[in-house]
Amino acid sequence: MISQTVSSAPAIRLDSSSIPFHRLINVETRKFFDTLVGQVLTDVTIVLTVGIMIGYAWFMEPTVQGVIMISGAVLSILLPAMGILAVTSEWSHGTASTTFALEPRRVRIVASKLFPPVIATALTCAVLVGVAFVITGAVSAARGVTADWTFDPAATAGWFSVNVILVLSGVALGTLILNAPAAIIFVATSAMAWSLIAVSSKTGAAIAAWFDIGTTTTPLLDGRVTNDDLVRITVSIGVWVLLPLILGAVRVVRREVR
Amino acid sequence: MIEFSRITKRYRGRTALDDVTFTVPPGSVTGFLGPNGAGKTTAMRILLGHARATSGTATVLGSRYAKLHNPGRHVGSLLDAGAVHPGRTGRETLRLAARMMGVPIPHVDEVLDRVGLTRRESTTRVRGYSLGMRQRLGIAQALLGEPRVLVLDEPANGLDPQGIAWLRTLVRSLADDGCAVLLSSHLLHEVEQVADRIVMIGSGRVLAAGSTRELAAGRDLEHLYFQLTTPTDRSAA
Repeated sequence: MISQTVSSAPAIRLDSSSIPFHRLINVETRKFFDTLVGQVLTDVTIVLTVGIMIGYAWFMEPTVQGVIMISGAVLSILLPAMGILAVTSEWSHGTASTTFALEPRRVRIVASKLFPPVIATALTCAVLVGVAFVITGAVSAARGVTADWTFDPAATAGWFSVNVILVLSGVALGTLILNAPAAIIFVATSAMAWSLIAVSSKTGAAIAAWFDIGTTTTPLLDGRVTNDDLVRITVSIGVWVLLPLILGAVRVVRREVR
Repeated sequence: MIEFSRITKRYRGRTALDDVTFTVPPGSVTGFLGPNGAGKTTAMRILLGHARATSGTATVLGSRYAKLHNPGRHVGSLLDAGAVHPGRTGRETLRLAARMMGVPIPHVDEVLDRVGLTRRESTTRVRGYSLGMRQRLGIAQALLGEPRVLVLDEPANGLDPQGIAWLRTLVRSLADDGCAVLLSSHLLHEVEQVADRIVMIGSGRVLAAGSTRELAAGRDLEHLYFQLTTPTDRSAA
């Protein structure tokens, strides 16, 4: 035992309770939207997506479901980036120390940071579904063709789930890598790598069928998911969302903060 | 109350802090002095849980900082005035902190007044702030939770003479109200004027600790400082 070299006062009873988790989520959500990253990224995502949706309705066919699904072309790139930027912001700006000074239990901060990008994604999806109807109506009227108003709830729910999975994969990688450019480059190159792996060989295709989120989640977008598909989806989420998130949380908790 | 008890910190063979022991009692200002790289910031980072000590314990109000619930309500700290998001306004930065700590939002305007940031300044983005304004914002955030312990790393840095005089009065009145204040600085004369106690470190070791009156007895603090600290203290960093 260390001998008592300093006068030791009894621990003062600290009456204030710990910060409730909903308050951390509230603050993190506000932090997400009160900076350019959140605002601009959400706006850019909506603008680019709406652009490609209009393009689809105009040059292909004005079908509500088709217009909703084409958004995936943009969202699959931008949502992971949004997730990454949402969690790396504190490390890019050196504000992590300020945050941890107010809540030293860092795991709670990591957990609360999962929410804002998911909230932003849900809002974006809701807006886009509404917009899809408007675009379909407007474009069919302008082109003088009949609109197809068939709406597939199962496929739309699948599309929503895929978007949430994508943004969470960005959050998880961002938490693990803690550096926005590196994480974004990783996501971009891995997307390219998977498309090569999938066509490279039979083995490559088999690997992609289990581990590439883009491949495993395709049945969700069709609105028809078998048990076998669910297993593959779960495995790929485990590898690209849960694993990096857990490793990242360990890294954040252990890390010395500047 | 702050207690450092036999704190040692080693980074890959280099010893940043070596068996550092001292206390900051309530109702006093303790000046933390030492050359650049002596270990002042490292000691404060360990106290706040930003870095881990290799051995020894550092406690605030009788427990480790990481064990405090809602620590912003007990301990106000300012280690790096640059650790603020440049895209937020000063007021928004404080509002976020207030929300997190559960401090009423109107209190933000009170602390802004207290540190002398005008309404106009507080509604501009921090990107455009001078170092002095950032220090004032950091001090405002430290005061926001009405803490009983304050940990300030070179808060006078970047402040103009009026600002330094203001800081001296502020720190003094907080200590007189019963706060335990740990304040690091390079401004020996300033520290001599405001601190009740001095802890001087060099190369990670406590070189002298005691009341300001005792340490500066007969001569001034600068004399003692140059006697105790050597240029090699810097190269050790």
